[in-house]
Amino acid sequence: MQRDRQKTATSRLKSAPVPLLSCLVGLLVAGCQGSIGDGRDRASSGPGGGKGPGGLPSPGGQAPGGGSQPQPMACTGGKPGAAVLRARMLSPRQYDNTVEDLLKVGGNPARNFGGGADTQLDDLGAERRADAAAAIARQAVAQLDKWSPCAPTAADCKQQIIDTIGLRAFRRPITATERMQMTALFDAGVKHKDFTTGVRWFLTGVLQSPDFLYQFAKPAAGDQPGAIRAISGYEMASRLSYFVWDSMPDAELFAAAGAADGLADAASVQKQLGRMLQDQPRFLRGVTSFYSHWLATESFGELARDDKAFTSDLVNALSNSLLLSATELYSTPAPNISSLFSGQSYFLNGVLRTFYGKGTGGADFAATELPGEGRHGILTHPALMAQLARPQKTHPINRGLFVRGKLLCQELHPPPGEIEQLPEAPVMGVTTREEVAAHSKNPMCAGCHLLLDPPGFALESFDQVGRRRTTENGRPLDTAGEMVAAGDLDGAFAMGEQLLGKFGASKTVRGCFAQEYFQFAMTGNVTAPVQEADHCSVERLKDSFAASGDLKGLVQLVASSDSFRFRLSGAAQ
Amino acid sequence: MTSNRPWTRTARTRRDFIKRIGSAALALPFLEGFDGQLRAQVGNAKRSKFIVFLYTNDGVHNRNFWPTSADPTSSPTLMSLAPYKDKVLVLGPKLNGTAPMGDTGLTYNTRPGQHRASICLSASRVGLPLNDDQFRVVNKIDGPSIDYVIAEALQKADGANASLFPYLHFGIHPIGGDTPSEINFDKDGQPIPRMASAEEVTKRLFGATVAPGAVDGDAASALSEHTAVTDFLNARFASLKGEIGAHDLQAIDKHLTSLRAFENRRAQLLARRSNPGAACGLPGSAAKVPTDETSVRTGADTQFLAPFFMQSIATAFSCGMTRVASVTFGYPGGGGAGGLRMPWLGFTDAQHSVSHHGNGAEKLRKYGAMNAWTVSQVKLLLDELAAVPMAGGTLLDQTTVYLFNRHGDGNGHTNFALPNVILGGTGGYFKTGQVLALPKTSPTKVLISLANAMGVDVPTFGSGAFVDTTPLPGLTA
Repeated sequence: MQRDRQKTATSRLKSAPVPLLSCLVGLLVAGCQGSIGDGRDRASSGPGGGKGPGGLPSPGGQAPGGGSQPQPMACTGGKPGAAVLRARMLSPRQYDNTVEDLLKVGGNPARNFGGGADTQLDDLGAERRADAAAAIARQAVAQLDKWSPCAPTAADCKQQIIDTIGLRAFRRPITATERMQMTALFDAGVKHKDFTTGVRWFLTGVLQSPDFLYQFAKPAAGDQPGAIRAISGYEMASRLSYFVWDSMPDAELFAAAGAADGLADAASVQKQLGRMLQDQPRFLRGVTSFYSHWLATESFGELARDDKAFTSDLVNALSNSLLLSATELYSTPAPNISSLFSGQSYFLNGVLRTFYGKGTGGADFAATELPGEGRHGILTHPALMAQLARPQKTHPINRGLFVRGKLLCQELHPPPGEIEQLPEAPVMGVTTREEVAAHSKNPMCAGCHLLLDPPGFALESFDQVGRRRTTENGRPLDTAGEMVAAGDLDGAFAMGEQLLGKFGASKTVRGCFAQEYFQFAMTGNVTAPVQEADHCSVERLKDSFAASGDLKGLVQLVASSDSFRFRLSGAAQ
Repeated sequence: MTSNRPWTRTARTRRDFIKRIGSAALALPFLEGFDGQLRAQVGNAKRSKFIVFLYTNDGVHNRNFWPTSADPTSSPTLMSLAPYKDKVLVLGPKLNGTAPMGDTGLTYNTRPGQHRASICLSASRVGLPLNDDQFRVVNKIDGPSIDYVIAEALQKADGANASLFPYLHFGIHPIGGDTPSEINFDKDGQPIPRMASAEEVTKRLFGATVAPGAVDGDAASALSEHTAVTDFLNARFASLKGEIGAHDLQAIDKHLTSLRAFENRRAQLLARRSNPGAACGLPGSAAKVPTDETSVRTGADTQFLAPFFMQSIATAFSCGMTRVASVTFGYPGGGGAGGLRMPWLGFTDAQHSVSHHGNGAEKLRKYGAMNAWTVSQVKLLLDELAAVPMAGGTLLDQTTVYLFNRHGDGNGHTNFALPNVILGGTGGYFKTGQVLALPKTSPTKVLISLANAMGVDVPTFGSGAFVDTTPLPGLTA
């Protein structure tokens, strides 16, 4: 992964699906008028793929200059397409969830780890994990009864703990050598002080082991270079559980992994998937991980507005509300993406209801209607609108980037330096749209703004804190526009609501969403470029999901894909 | 001296200092050759022993920044540095009145994307993306930053006397908005994380050995635990190496290297704690840093975090913990919050917002105040360094401080007349106490000069259009 990143470092510069971009007022004109939209990088050539009319990008496209054009791949017959799998470090969220499942210790001990699934640790990263491991171990020994398989007084308790926790922490049976190593560490602690110290040292070591910190895809005996083989057993169990639950496997999954030919065939995977999707609390944890990443909710920690009522409590509530409003949909029997982008009901607590003038209430979040405001599901959630804005006014460019990047999987060049800046403060008698539109006339800026401004303007009915508005600085709002190079969203709209109402049923948007869910499963990063080996899996996924919009079905489709179930022999690299 | 005794200026004497620092930081000039492009400078040449990189973003209040006389502190922004005016070297442009002339001074010869902090110390052609999620995305470039090159060279040259940390990087609100603020990169171009909280600095540098609430918190006991866990982990890594593919092996090797660096350092810290006379204490300012959610979110903590970081750097230098440090002040660009905020100045505007002042009086006033506050923290660092006696002078005499910015004029986010300043005694290497009026000059030259000042020869640095091979002439004493 790192090597790939190095190769594509220049092309990644084009990745700008940025919700919080403030100074993007002049994307490189070449980036929005040239030969974009080949689908090489972030996307495959799905619905509407390829170069758009007039050289404009098409959904799933990227800006030019990224290198040679790939040849379309045939996706019928032949051996499954699959890539070499790399070791993946547990994300901070996965680390927290795993520790909670393993030792019943909460409190987000990985909150300051930073980095992601493909991060390589430096010594500060190692130190942070060492400190977290020690702190977790201290908490765990104070509550042995919650996770230990035995009472400390039991004669063979040490061995029981090593065997049970060893298997669960390493997500596979431990070898005789590993048992010996663990026993030596445990014994050193006992010798130093007592049994509890032995447990604590043992846990401190296990939680820093590479076997715990990474998901490995180890070469199997007899692997031939370039061979495709099914992922099975304990590796598949972890792959499934970290994708669906964002945590370690449970006992049943371990049992299935340990059976003969465990999880090697599609039927056994589907059987486990069906069960896992029914485990609502854990499934929601997995879904929350995706939406947290997709909606960049962690960035709320720095969110500020020139409004004294915009307090830390409010910001926390907004972040929680955004996640709840997206994920509670999965508690319904048949969640569909059309519901994600429609409706006017949001989960609000008392702080939010007061701020948005919808009554009062306590700390609990409950579904709250915001009628008559032209809301369309998650896209117009007050939190998202506030996040994609500036301290004193809206940010149509940021909002346009969100639509282009996250909903259409398009990539645009960042703006050059030394460009005219938009006013940050409100100007009486002038709307933000008028400021942006004036700027967009600059030939250096016009190309990209043709793409960014219409979806950004369509959301101008929501101010910088996400409230509904009809005027700005004494002027009526104009939310009309025309979408181009946006697949089935193309066309003029007289008011923003007309465009917003199209997202839920858009096959273009669904294709992009499916791709992002897939990439999250494969790499932990929704905007990661699709690997060539995954092309066919992604195309099938997009086609299926575009037709159904079935959100739970999407999870099953990803887990059933060739890319998820097979791997290319690592010996070929 | 006890391990938790507040470290105060009055408590320090030359004898204390020598006792604390031992020979760790006194090993210059370097006698051994370095690998690759890094070679020792042998002889009696003047050299700096310590270096600090201070990053600020989004340019400066142009008319307030530039000195208009030979006194390098003769400007509204820099005037607080007046007590150190003989230790200030302004790398200025040619001026027309108080305003820089176009394409003079430190200037990028092609225009990198705006806000890109990564270019400042790396001179890398790779521009990091405007991120959608800075918490997860790895912002990799194509090579190391100059601070890393210097730190690695010093570690090798110092050998057994190398400092505990090759470098210490601090970040004041390092993540937020829409643009990465990373300035430090290792040899593979991987960003090096920064310490961003008083809690982490306290634990890592001063109380690092035993976390609060430890069951058996004495250093000897912790050392026993540390040794046992280290043995276990070394065994695990050794076993794993035979089981994984080549690419994974590379990642695991890096992890193991990092782990060993940490383990060795912690073992030394634990040993030091067992010998309280050799320990260095936590600056008293640590206790003043607010950690409540509102202070962090509004940026009110910055007022206390920055002084604590500056004092920590002075302590780390004087105690042989490191010779290379950096601080980033906020993040560039805007987004939801818009960069660094300083509510104690009487307003809540974000720095990025006021940097685009459009020549409006109110924004200019605020911008000037924010710039001046940042410089006041530079002054504080100089004060702290000047308070430590060393080699007949002070620690400041042996230190080079590089204050640098990604942009020139804040309003236009320009790529010329970068408002960069070298400060400190620099071991006598640089001719300070002056204001330069540079023609168009590559900032990479300054990076090479800084490496040379630390005794590190860098024949070439940077990539793409930003490569350079020679230091900036006329800087040395």
